[in-house]
Amino acid sequence: MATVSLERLRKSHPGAPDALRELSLEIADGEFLSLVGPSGCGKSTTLNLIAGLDEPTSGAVRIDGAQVNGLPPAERDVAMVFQSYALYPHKDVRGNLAFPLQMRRLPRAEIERRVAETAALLGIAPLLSRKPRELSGGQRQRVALGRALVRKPRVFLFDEPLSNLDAGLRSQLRGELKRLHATLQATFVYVTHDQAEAMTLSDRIAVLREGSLQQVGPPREIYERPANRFVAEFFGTPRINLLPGRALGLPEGEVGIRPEHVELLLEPAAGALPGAVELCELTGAETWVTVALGAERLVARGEAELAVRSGDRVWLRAQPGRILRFDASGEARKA
Amino acid sequence: MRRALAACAVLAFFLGPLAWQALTSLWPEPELTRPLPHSLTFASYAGLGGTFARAVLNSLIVAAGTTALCLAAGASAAFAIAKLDLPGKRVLLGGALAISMFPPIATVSPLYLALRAAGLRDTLAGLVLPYATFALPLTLWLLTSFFRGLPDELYRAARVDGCTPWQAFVHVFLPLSWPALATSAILVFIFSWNELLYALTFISTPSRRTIPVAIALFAGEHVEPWGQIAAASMVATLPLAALTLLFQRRIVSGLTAGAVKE
Repeated sequence: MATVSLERLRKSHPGAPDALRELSLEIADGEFLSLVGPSGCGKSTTLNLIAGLDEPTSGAVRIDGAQVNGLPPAERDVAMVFQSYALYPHKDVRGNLAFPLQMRRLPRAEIERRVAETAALLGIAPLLSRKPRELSGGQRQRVALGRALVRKPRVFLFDEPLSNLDAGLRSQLRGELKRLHATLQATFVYVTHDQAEAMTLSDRIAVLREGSLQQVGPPREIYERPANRFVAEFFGTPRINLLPGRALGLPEGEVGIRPEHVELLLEPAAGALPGAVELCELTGAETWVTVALGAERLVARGEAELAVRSGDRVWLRAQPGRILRFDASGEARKA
Repeated sequence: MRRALAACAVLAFFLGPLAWQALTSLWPEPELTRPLPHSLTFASYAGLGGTFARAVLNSLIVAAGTTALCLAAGASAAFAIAKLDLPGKRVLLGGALAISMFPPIATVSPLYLALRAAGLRDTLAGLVLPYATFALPLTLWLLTSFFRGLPDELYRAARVDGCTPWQAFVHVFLPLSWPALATSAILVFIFSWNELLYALTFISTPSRRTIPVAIALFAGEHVEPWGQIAAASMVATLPLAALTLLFQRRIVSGLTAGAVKE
């Protein structure tokens, strides 16, 4: 297993804005790190640079302290799982799992042993002689996972591996991935645009936007203490409420408050601001209530049983410790 | 009913000349001008003789050689253009297209001189080489678009799994390109099988002639052996028909099904 360090990585393409701008990041041994951001933020580029599928314009990639710039993927000992699975269509499952080992010229007995071991671990042993086209989406992704596992690489790279699966299967495989990471204790670098996926899986999250790193930290820290407006808005569903500070009686700048930190009261109370209900969205476990507060709109979380209808008068109170303040450039201010 | 009639009309249009040729080859030579012969005969085929058999063999060698050369060079080049990060891909593809635009007649004399200088005049290799250069652009374009259609992630997966670019080509992409290879093979084979101009110009020894040349030179000063010409054409056409029918089964789509999410 291994550490990965990225030092001032830059990737530019002629005639286009830089895909990566001086990205520096330390990934610890055995860590599950997610690279998150909207499409085009440079997360997949970063993954390709670690894998050796692409070379940085400047900067260094180190695995276990040794610089790997210029080394072909084969010599970096990393494995990758792709969004489209990228299974070899002409090989059966056994052939797909064995291929990376055959390329490393392992003895046949060893290959068979490892293929059997991996197939058992992932529950795909009954599928070994099937072709990829005879598998369901979830089975294909398990085989793709197996093709990465079978090599026992130093680093696992995941490029949106669950994005092509339907919601039910996605959460099931998410759980399996997490268990797998705990079992293997290997270094995982996981690219996703799905903030919920990153939150549930990762030890740490690195948020990227337009090629530059916005914030790195554990999920809780990213969620509770976002470094800037962008990070605050990217995480959390429904989205964080952003409004001018004076709407909450604060002197200046912009403030953010997450819907679950806005108390919804049916009667006036100290520090509560009056508003009118615009929309109620029941999700089952709770109700998201959109309230017009003067010219601003706020979403607050209410109980599932909450009996309000649009037009009703309600009072909102922001939990004081939960208000995030941003300056004019969108950076978070220290409280 | 109307459809059946239309289908028959189309079939007659395409197969008519072939049927006529087949009948001519079986018609007894002295009765060619009669509306109906007394009997059909294989005499024209029997009269083709050893020289023509030699021409068939030569054509086979030249066409097979050209096809092999074209596919080997074309497939690897097309893969590199489609999947690797090469500078000047467009120039290469454009150049190949430009080359195929040259009218063959304009290239005959310079090619003749070049082949003579290389000591390849009047050899079968001296046909394979120019045929390959003329057929290569088509192969290149066809295979490039095919390889472009295969997902990039497949290439990236192969690289991460330990392949060099060449190994990725051999182990992953080549086994998937059967349909495109078969299509290119047929086209190149037909082109080299039918080519007349170069074969007529570059080959002087009768025993090295290819089928089109042999047929063209059948006609004597005073006689036109129609029966034999027709028989020879049939012999020349049958391998192509067989080849096309054979490969038609190979040209199946869906070979990549299951590789990626559709």
